[in-house]
Amino acid sequence: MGSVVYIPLLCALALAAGAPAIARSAPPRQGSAMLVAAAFGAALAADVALVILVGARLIDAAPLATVLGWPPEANGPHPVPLPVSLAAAAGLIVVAIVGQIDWRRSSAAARRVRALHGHADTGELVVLRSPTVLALTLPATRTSPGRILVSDGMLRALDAAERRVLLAHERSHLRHRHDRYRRLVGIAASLNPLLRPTVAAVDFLLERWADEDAADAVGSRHLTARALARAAVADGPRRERLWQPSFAAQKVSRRVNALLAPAPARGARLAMLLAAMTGVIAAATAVAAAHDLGHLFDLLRGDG
Amino acid sequence: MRVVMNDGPRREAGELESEVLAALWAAGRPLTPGEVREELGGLLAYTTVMTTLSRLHAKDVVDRRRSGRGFAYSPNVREAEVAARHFRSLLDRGHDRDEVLQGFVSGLSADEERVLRALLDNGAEVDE
Repeated sequence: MGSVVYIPLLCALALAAGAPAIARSAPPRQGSAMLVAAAFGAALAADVALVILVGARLIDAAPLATVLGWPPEANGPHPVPLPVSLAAAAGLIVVAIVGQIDWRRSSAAARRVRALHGHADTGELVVLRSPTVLALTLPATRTSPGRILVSDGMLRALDAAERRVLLAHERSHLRHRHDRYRRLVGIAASLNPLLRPTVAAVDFLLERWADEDAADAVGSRHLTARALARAAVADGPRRERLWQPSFAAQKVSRRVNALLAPAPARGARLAMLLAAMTGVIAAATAVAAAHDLGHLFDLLRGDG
Repeated sequence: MRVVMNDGPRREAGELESEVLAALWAAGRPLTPGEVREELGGLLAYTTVMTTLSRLHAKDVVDRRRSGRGFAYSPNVREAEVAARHFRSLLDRGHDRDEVLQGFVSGLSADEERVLRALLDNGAEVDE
């Protein structure tokens, strides 16, 4: 079988390690789409690799061989060392548990979103009376269009031009269905917890995407930067989470600086290419490893 | 995708409603259609603002009362208080929001606050 089967797992690790760099440097629109797709591909491929690492061992298991009438011993040393198989089995168990928890949480969240729509049907904008500085999108469902939820505290903190930035930013989230991107990368991280760092990276890129759309809509990146700064300062500092990926800890500043700099070039493809390559390599090697496993299967049955 | 220009007439009706409603909330006092129009930069037609305010009033999202020969409009605060109760969990700062509810800004650190305040005080001019 060789080491081909381990490549999807390495790809997942590489993608997770490279996610912050991709978040910082990739053009937001292309970067988020590519990162979500690569994460999903890498997650599936890595899980297939884990199944193969366990399955290769199970096929050779003596009771199974007897039942199926196979020769009791394969030729030569086993292609997958026992510790590796056990580790892979443990990995699959983790995936099953984490996946189940995430699935339940995700279903509950979807129910909550549908329920909230019932209280938000007066128009695109729903204002909540609160001194907090809040703006959120309520993504569209089958029966309701997307809505923008804003506290009156937020509206008072911004001037008319900045309010236009806010609305344009939220509209971008709704129009491009960023909730779907977020849900997909969340599923990828459930399928393979090694990929958790890609979630924060995608979140950041989605905000950058909406920032750039808002800047286009109002015609000024400076104004957009100012609106972000104004809203953030009005919100005030909050207690830092115990752990945050380093780039996320300064994300408002990064977004403001990105807007004060010239618009991101449609070039800068290196990071994206790497992510795309990773996803493709992961998928290809999963297929190759599965082919290897089939070959091994035949060998054990004596079909040579 | 068509870029929405800065001038009023290109905006859709629903978007106009949002802008006008937001302006009423930000003002903190009842506004006449003329004052709303001014607050929004004076680029919208007066009739457009009037129509938008009427639509909002019909939806019971804004109140109005007589002012001179016309009306002055203010947001329906009761409705917003009811809404706040329904969305209470989202307003709680400590609460973990559902992953698909994207927002605007969050998670400012103390260092960042200083830097951003300085940026605002020095006036990042809108000069593009």
